[in-house]
Amino acid sequence: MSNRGKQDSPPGSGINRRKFLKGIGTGLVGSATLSQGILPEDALGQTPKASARSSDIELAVVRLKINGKTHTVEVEPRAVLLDVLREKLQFTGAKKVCDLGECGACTVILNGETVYACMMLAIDADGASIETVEGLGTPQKMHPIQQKFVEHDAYQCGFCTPGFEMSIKSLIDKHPDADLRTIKKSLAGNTCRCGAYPHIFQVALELTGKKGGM
Amino acid sequence: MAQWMPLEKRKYVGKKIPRTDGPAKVCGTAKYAYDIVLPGMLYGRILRSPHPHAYIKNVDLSAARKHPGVKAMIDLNKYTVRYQGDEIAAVAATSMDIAEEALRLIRVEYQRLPHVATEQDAMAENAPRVFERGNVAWDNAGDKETVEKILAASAHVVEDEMYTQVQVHNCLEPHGCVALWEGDDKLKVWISTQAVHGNRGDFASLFDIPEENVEIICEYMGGGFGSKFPIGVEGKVCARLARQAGRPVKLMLTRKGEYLAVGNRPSALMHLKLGCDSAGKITGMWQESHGTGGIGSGAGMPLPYVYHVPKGAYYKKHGSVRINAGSARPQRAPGHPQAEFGMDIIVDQLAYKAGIDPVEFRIINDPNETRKRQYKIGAERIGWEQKFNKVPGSAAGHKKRGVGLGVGRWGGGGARSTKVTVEIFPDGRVTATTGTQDLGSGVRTLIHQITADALGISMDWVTPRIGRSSYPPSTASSGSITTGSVTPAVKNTCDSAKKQLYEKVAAALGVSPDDLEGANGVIRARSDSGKSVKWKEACALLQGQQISVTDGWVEGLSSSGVAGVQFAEVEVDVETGRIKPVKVVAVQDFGLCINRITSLSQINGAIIMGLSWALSEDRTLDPNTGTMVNPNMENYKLAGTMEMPEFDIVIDEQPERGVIGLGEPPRVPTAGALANAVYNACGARVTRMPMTPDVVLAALKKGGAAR
Ligand code: FES
Ligand code: FES
Repeated sequence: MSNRGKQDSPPGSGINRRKFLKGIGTGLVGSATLSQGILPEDALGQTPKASARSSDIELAVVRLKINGKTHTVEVEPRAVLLDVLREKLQFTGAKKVCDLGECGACTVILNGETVYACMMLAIDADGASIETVEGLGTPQKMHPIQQKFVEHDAYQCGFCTPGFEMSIKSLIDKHPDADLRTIKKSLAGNTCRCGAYPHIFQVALELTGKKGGM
Repeated sequence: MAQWMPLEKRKYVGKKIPRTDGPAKVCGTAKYAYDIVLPGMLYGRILRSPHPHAYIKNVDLSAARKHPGVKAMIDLNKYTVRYQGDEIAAVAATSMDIAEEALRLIRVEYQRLPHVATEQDAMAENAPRVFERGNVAWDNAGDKETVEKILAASAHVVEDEMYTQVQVHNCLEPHGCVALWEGDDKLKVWISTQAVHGNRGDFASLFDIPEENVEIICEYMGGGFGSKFPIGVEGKVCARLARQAGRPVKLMLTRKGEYLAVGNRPSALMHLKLGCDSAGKITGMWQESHGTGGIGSGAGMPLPYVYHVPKGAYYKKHGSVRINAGSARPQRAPGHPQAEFGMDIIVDQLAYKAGIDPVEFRIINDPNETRKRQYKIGAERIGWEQKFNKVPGSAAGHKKRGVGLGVGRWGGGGARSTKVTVEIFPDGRVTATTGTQDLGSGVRTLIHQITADALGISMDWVTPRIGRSSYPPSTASSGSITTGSVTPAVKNTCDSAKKQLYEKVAAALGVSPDDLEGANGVIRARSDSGKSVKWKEACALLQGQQISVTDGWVEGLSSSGVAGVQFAEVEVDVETGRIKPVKVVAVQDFGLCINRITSLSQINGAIIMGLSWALSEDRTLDPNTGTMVNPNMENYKLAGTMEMPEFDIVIDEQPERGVIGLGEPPRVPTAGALANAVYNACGARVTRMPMTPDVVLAALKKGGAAR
């Protein structure tokens, strides 16, 4: 039940845009591509032609201000923000899980709003100020959100954790006194397969001062 | 026999200790396989069959090979594909996007074959065969006629059909790895795995190189739940692509690949009859059932589950059915949740029919003393007396509440082969090292706690090291045996290392080594408390020579066999059919609890996985096309924040039994407990999962609460 949340994100125009641009890259522009998805497993067994060769694609230069520091990076116009963060700049805190805006593991804060980094093109983030989990704190000097996660064991494998942290950061920045219901609603776009939800709620409740709210 | 440290020496063991690797996880510095980025690294992708069943007449890689950026390609040389998602070919390219493009340029000629995508279709006469040997393997027990006679003579008999659907593991970190060749015959692999040492052997035999030449690294991994034992096609292909390209390759599956090809929990359709005498004692059980694990086997379930059925009074006919779908793999307590769902519902029905309270009925028929006790604890915690509707569905209004319960059992145990190295350095630092893997269970933290307590020092001195095949061998994390394997070996090895240190200390203090004991960072003589040294000073006696001891598992610190019960309270809206889980109480035994908070996380997580399966998850195949209609996280519904009930976890500790694994047991009782609570709430028996509103409304139509 992953697609309900992200009340803080801008409306999801990203998906069409991204699919469209990816389509150009493969020469597969057309309604069939758009409606059937772009994952390789969807290949229909026919042979599409590459109309634009990857090597011909002109690279774009984007400037991303990540956790206060500006990074200038050359990307293909079709490159997705999450891939640029993770593979080019090695901000691997944000995770890739669904790559389709369904799980929240890639959540970062962009110009003050949470976004799914897998649903946005890097060129659309040009000039933006981005907060990732790496900017919250360090193991030696953890952010209060991080301290609470550790104290309450609000994870098991930890793969969903950075995404939840960023969602909670945005939540408490905007609703510093959120109650459990608001917390549940605003975290509904993040998925945890290990089932750490009860402890994650404790984290958020303590940060909003609603300790007894469970 | 070995023993755990006495209670007064447990400063960390048995306490609520935050995870050792917590800070790394919350700061994003924990590196999972997916996070590895190496210079010159390529990206691998797998081409999968879009068809459920086909001959492959030709695979033409030539166009893809010419695509700029493509550096390696593999044709897997398959003649037949047997499920949507079956692997056909793979590429490695300089970016993920280019690799995806290249897949689209591969021309595959298929000759479609008839498929079977449901158990019913597969069992039909003249059904298309998944494999030559036929689609169904039968497993029979007992004598049908005898059991039918017993049932006919019983005071009460109930009969129903229960169905549990296929559940996909959905580990958040996909399957896959990063492979790096260092020369022709040395391979390094960062992999998301439940079997660090097993994977070393897999790669070594694949390439026919010595095991020492393969290094497996898995410091962190994003969930396995039973699906990550073998290196898989993705592991093999990744290492082959890397070898071909002469460059490192990262190959992690797409989410769709995860849904199609790397395992699931088989379905189960259980037609059951159960009888009891007038006192409520079960007299006999009749079962005809089947289930499917796709092209794989393992669709059985351990019935009769938990409750005692007299010898000779059980009949079963079970079919393991093959269909054209991705193979099953072990999933968190394989078979047990299916068996629990069937058994706990039929038992519940029989209890109501016999006019005996469902809790009481279970106490009558469950031979396990631990659970007999747990039923009472659980009933008390959920408020059974007040909340149980003597007439199900009788509460006023359209949102009706009710309570129900379910049970579970599991094994556990430990692997004798487990080895650990403990090193004590002259500056006081200690390392405890073993090649296990932490799936999120917290074993890294347990090693840390135990080492500190066994040596009587602060955890600050200790560094636990896991997740590499170059470390001493540890078992695969299967069957909830990791804790039972690793922790006894750690304790024992610490004792051996301590002995060596105490010899030095004894000489310095002029006492016998046996006279020494350590606590709170001080080693002192029992006979003369004036004779003592601080830990740091004691280690300085090593004079530059560290102690390094490798030792193994010992008997006496672990056991197997655990019991648990869960009680659920739900609210059913009889107008919309929506089930709202209100509260789940779990009473769970797992011997000695090493860490009170990571254990809670495991139990919560197991319940949530059960709840999610019961209420919404469903691997849905279209029978006509044989393809999965919901291979994504939007339409494969995992329970999320909005579905969370209140949790009340009771750790039913039996410390004298030593440690027993906890990953699987609490996964078992949830679905049955919820279904029984739904009946108690609305008076309709929901016997099909997932218990979505349409299923609930259909059950209400058949019979249930008066509006
Ligand atoms: S990876 Fe971006 S939402 Fe799932
Ligand atoms: S902690 Fe594993 S997915 Fe959330």
